[in-house]
Amino acid sequence: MAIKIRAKNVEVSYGDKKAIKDISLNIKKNTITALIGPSGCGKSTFLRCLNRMNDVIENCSIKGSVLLDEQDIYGPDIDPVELRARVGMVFQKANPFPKSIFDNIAYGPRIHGLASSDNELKDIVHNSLEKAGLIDEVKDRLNDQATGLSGGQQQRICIARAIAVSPEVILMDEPCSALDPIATAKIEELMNEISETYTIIIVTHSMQQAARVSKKTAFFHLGDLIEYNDTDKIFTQPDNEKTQDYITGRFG
Amino acid sequence: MQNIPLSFVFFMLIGVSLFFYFYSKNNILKKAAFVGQRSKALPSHYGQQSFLWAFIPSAIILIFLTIGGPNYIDQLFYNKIQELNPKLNQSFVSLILAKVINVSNGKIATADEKILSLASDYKAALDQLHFYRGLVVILCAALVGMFVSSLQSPRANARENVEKLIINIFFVSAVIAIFTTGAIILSLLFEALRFFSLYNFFNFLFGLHWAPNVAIRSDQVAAAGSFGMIPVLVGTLLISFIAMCVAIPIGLFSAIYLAEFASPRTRDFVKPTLEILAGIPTVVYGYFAALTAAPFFREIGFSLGLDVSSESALAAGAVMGIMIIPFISSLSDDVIRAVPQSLRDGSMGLGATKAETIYNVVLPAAIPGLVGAVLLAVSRAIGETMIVVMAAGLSASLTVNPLDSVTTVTVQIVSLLTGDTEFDDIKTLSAFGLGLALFFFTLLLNIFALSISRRLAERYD
Repeated sequence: MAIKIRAKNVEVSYGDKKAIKDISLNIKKNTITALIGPSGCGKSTFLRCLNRMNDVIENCSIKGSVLLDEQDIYGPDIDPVELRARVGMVFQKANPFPKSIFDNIAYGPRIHGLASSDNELKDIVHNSLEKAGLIDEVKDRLNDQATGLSGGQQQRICIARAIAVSPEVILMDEPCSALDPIATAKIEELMNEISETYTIIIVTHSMQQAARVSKKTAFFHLGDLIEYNDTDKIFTQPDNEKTQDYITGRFG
Repeated sequence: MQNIPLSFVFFMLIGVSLFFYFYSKNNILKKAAFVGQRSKALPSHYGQQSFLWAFIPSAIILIFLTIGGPNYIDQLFYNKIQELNPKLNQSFVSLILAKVINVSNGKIATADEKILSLASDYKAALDQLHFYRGLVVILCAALVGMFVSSLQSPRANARENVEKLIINIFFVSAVIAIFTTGAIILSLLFEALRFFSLYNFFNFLFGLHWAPNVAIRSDQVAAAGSFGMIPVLVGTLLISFIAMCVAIPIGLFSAIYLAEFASPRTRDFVKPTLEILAGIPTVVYGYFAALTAAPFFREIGFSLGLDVSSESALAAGAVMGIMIIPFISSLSDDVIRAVPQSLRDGSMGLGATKAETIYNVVLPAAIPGLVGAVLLAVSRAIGETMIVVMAAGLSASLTVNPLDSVTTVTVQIVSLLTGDTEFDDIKTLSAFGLGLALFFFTLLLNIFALSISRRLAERYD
């Protein structure tokens, strides 16, 4: 299968402190890749490299290259704003804007000018909510505040919001860490459904979740990529002893 | 009888209370050892309990005796003087009383036997009062302290009692603040009512002519004054409007710059500098408005062929706006920075630019606070006095031309109340009418501001 993202010798440091060291990783197109590892291992930092969200953080420097469809996203002719439209992101804490549900989903299409008419915008919002499996729950109250929804619904609003821009890649930074098991199950189901059309990279603390949803898993530890392989392989017979220890719960 | 000075009584009171603090603290340990169990609260709680009980009631007695005592003695002597001279006019009785008081504390000398004897009586009465004040306060502290500390038992929880007492102290403080505000409003209201008994309320509220030039003495010739507040109010609103035109854009934009774009180093320099602006006394701004800004606007006006008054509303308003910038920028900066970073990340993560993020997400989320900041600034502009006294005009012309000279409510109040004035005169009393109008105007504005920011806060919560 085709390679969507090719990370080569990526190194990120905040000031003097190195967060990740020399990471090289190829992400397959239209699959779900999970990044696991103990807290502070650099998996979120790596994730944020893939759509240049680290640019926003002060005194953060990045070495190496990240190729999206064989094009370096840190190259001089790349606009991070356009990049983030291609590589969307869903955050750990559901962060719907203090606007109506409709305006939340329409936010991305509006700023990128994706809809030429009101009807087209409505279609985009409708389709995104449908893909996110939310449409039945919210179709009668699109003008209500998105912040009034439950935590799980809010997180799915955020996923729908990311889908509405029709990105190629969706990055998810522990999207279920604040949700109950039922809401988590819904989001995992949703990820499975949309993984045919989107390349998804998910950072998670739950190894069961990684095992359930992902095809490929990368294990990070102290800023190093320890092991990267098919999920089945990682969770049944890992090559590295540290991976073995981590997935069996001996540390982390 | 010996005079005990106030400071001595006060320090004695603290000393006695402190004594009971340490006494109870130690005593409770002994009591606890005696019954063979730990006290329910910490020993210091029992100490605090005794301290508060010894201190607070005695302090209240001290305050009452210090304020009320001399008044009571004055009243006694007033009656005494009146009995001695039944035919005397009231104000002469007061005059004699003042003389007696002044002789008694040695400020003036007199040879009048009657006054001298009254003065020595007065001094004796005052000394007696001070002596008993000291005695009563110290005795009260000692007795209550002894009573409370002897009743303390290790089984009773002193902490609850202390906490209740302290909560009550907080409550009383809040009530005092409210009562003082109420008293201020009432004093304003009563004087204003006296004014409205002399001048029709509706003529005042809707009158288009303001000319408070009435004869102060009966032998003077002057027109009957006219007290329509509309021109004065329009002047206030005009100058406040100009001030807001200066302060809102500059303050808001600088807040956005500080909160969203400035590097930490720039911020560390710019924010304190802006806040220094807030610390400049308004009288200095007044100089600036009268001596620098007004001639400057005049020159520009002349070069454009416009006739600009040397006390133009524009100059006063512009300088007032500069004064208000730090209020708006500092408050807005705090409000904008309080918008959660996760909202900014969410917007950036969707490919929004920084500008789009600020305009579409950050500012809407900050709106309630921003509205509050602006309306606070408006209230301040309306109540501002010194700049307009120095830079705005005195004549009340009904105009909205910023190049003209206008007067404001605060300027009129100042000019009506300074200098030799009689307090039963319509001219003086009209100042209280204006004060009341100003008070209600800013009150309405504040209520409006609160309700708006509350409604917006609900929408964006």
